[in-house]
Amino acid sequence: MLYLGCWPQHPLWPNPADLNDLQIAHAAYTADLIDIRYAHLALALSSNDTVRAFAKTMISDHEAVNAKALALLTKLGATPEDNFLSQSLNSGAEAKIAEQVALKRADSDRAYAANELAYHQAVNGLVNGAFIPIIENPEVKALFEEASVIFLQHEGHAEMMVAAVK
Amino acid sequence: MSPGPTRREAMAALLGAAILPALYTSRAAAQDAVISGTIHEVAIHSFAFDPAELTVAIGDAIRWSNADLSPRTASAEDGRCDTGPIEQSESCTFEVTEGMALSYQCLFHLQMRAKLLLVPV
Repeated sequence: MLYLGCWPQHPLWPNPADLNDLQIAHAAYTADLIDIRYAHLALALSSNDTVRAFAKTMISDHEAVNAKALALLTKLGATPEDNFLSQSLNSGAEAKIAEQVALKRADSDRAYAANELAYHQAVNGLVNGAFIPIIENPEVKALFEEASVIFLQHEGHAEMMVAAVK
Repeated sequence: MSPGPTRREAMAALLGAAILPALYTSRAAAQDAVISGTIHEVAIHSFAFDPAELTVAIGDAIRWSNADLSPRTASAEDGRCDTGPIEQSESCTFEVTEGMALSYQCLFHLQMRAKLLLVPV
């Protein structure tokens, strides 16, 4: 599970709003990779058509976003910087994947759907609320704005999946 | 839409890369055939088919061009045919044939839907 939705706001704790463009790029790329991992796991565990279709869409969409991000970084000659947020995302994903693997199939479908909704809500909050306002490079900002449209669609699609696998 | 990939490939070859907008890459290879009817353009952008309703006739063709970042499909809601994934900056063309489904959607993003209105030739 991703914990961004309730990211701590204490002034002495790290804050996503303090990240620079290269750190934001790293965190976003990491978040994409995590959702692709979730999708591959769902495809391995589920025989539900709705879940499988959603998972395939997540793979193709997030791979497309990351491919464009890599192309832009290459063009800019920039290297993404690992940071506390990327590390937190990864550790949260490891826990979520372990939890998912331990579930029975029907429970796994419901858990995947619920997590996809929560994950996209959290990422959308982060992208639109924290990242886009502070990104300095206009091309990077444009890519995030383009990607945010996709992720908002995913959130709506995830809501439908949650209702379908109840 | 015509039924199935073989038909799609044949149509793509029939229409040919030469008549496509330079911005988009087509799967077509041959360039020496023509289509008798109108070629209708449908843009895919911002998770929508544009236009969402298109009036066509038998013998026309429809060319979908994807300006969005991730792949899209134009797939008949009766499941009988689809374009397969259309990547960003790619196009795919179908001939309008008898009995084709008049509602289609993107299989990856089911909220993307559009309609065809069929008129006599």
